[in-house]
Amino acid sequence: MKELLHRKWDVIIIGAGLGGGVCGRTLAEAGLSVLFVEKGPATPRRAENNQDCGYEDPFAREMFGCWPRQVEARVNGTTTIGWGAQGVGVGGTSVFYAAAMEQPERHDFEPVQDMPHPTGGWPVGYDEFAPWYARAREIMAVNGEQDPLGDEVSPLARPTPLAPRDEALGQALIKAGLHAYRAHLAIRQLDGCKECIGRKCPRDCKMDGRSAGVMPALATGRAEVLDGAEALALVGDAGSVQHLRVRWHDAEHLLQARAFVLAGGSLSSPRLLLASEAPHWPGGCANSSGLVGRGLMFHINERIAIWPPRGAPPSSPGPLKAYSLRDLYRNGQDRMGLFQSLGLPADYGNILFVLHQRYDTSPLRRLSIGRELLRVPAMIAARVLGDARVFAGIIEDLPDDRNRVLYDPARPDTIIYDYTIADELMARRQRFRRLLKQRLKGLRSLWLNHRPELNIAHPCGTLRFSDDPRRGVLDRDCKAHDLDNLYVADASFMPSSTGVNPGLTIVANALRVGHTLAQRLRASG
Amino acid sequence: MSDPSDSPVVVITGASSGLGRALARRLVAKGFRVIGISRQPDGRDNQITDGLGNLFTGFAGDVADAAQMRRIAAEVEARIGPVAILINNAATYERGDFLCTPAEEICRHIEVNLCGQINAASAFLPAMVDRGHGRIVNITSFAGGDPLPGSLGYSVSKAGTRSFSKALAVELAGRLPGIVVTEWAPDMMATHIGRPDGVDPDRVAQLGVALALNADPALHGATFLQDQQILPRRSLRRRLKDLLLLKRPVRPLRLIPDQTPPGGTR
Repeated sequence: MKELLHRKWDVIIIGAGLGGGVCGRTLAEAGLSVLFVEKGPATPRRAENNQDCGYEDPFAREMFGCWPRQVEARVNGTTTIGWGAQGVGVGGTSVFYAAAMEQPERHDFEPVQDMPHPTGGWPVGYDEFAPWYARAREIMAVNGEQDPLGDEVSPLARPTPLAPRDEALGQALIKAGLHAYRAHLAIRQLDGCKECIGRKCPRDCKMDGRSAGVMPALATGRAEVLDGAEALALVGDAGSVQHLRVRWHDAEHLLQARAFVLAGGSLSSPRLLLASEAPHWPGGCANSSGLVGRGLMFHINERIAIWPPRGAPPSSPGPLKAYSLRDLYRNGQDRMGLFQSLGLPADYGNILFVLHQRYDTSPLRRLSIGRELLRVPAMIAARVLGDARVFAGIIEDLPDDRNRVLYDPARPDTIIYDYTIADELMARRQRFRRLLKQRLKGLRSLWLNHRPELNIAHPCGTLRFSDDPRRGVLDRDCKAHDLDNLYVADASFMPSSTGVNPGLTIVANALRVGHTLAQRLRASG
Repeated sequence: MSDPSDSPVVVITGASSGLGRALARRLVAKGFRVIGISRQPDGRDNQITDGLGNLFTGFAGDVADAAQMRRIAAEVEARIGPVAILINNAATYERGDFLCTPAEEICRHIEVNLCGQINAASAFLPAMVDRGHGRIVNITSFAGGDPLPGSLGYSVSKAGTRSFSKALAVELAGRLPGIVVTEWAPDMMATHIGRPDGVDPDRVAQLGVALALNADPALHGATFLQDQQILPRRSLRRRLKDLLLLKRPVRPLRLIPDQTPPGGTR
């Protein structure tokens, strides 16, 4: 391991998650030497745990791949401290994700005839991105069906047949006039596939930053992982980055590379730039625009349980994350988003988890018996909801520079953000709920949340790309405007949050960035 | 199991005598390939392999030596096959008045009885972790909770093995559900470290075989005293609370002695 500290690498990737993993794989496959610098420790490949590890001890949390520290979130002016959704270790948060790999639509990237774009449009439009989405589906082994309402996409592997009960639910949705299609998922459906939604997949079946990124990169023989290494700051001169300063085994080291790819995730990548402030980098590295950390977006989640029609066959084994629908993706001028199976049964454990989450942010949180008493309503709810399927609608969030990630030098590994749900978003949410209620008429359903829920697993936008260096941190290639060898390959680059889960966009863009960077490095020898 | 080269591999430390030997005989009779690790691989009086046939392989090794355990684990995995079960059985027990026993002799108990379990688990676990499944039974004793004069080293070492089993179970729980760790405190036996009026180790081995062959995830982190699972004590307050929360009391599990007759000789 020590030897890794002293080599000069072609590229150092900071963060071995979904974006970093895929970008590093592209670079290594192009013949370049790649070092993944990963905060988390090495963990067993066969681990199957979810993110609810039950420990508050930072070291123990990292053994499970969970972010070691609590997140300080100021939402609508109220500060709460709690466990976030971020992961550490090879694969990052993506080892826990639900494998949703949906492609955004044209209006997510650029103005269309009847709908302007909130940012005027991404510097790279729908048509230019399209081949990268196709390549992303290929390396992520995405399966699913064509969306009957949208453009045809390829490649798509054939999904495993559903259990009869879920099949009946799909028929009922179609009968209600909705256009349900089999969700696009990065799961290879190997024999005995356990559909590891929300937990680590012990095999290379679920495709994530580890199985589709870091592992294939290591297989080239040109990539290595330095795990348990905390990125402290980038070091360089006005025009380029020369070193990454890391803490590894209680000592600080300066790592060297020709180019650096930042991929710590939208809540962490900007913090490293802010932490790298120097006389020639006032306000942080790559921050001449003052926009580093700004423009933070989440999606708003609406969860709803839907029952298959009366007389449908009882539950039997089969895929759980069954359907996606784009009937509410947009409505007139309104940007809404994807409606999809959550992939979790409405069983006792999942209901209790949701109730605990709510309890822990409520004023009652110090009363431990109250928390335990949630078992009773959870048991009743499990009886009632037992055979329902939980769906979630996501509503697109739009950028506001006041929403941002902050960096506190006294607590360098604490994620801190300040976010206000815009009035416009709240109003759009109400319209979304009204519309959904209308469209689900005739189906037995139950709303599971009433207050707006931030999807804290979908942060993006904190280092957005723009052709104008005053309006974005990155250029169209996701290279920092201010520096000639610093790139970004996570969801930070997104100028708007789109109406779908960010996974496929992260992969497509990481492939694109990796390709451009590899060409440049090879051209300059 | 007609083809012996396909049968699962069980590793038993301290297999040359007593309970280890009895477990080996019973597991061989059931068709398992058994690896016996002991300081005297050919047993006291060179009898260990008697009648155990080609399903048994002895390895000379001192569990107190971590490097030796790693070498043996690598050789077993490469030459014999993937280890499915590890039974941490090796133990030493020498009586001695603490006031006139050199510290080295006291500490030797800890090195063999406690560090031996740690060394063997550490050596055989990585391959189990790579495969995602495995079974470990740590043989322990409640001696540490109620020490007898003249047994200080043994008592301390066994208190350590109890803690080791729990700590190892916690390390793996949640992450690797296919690896099941259980601690087992068998009856006092008529062995060279037991006492003459103790139970026949072969009868005790019937329970050990049943426990080792049961890899039910519910046994992870469980403690067995003889054939009975010992559940953590619940306070009155806890019991009232559980009643209020509609939690059903957990029933302790009971082992059913394995009935396959042993092979080989004693």
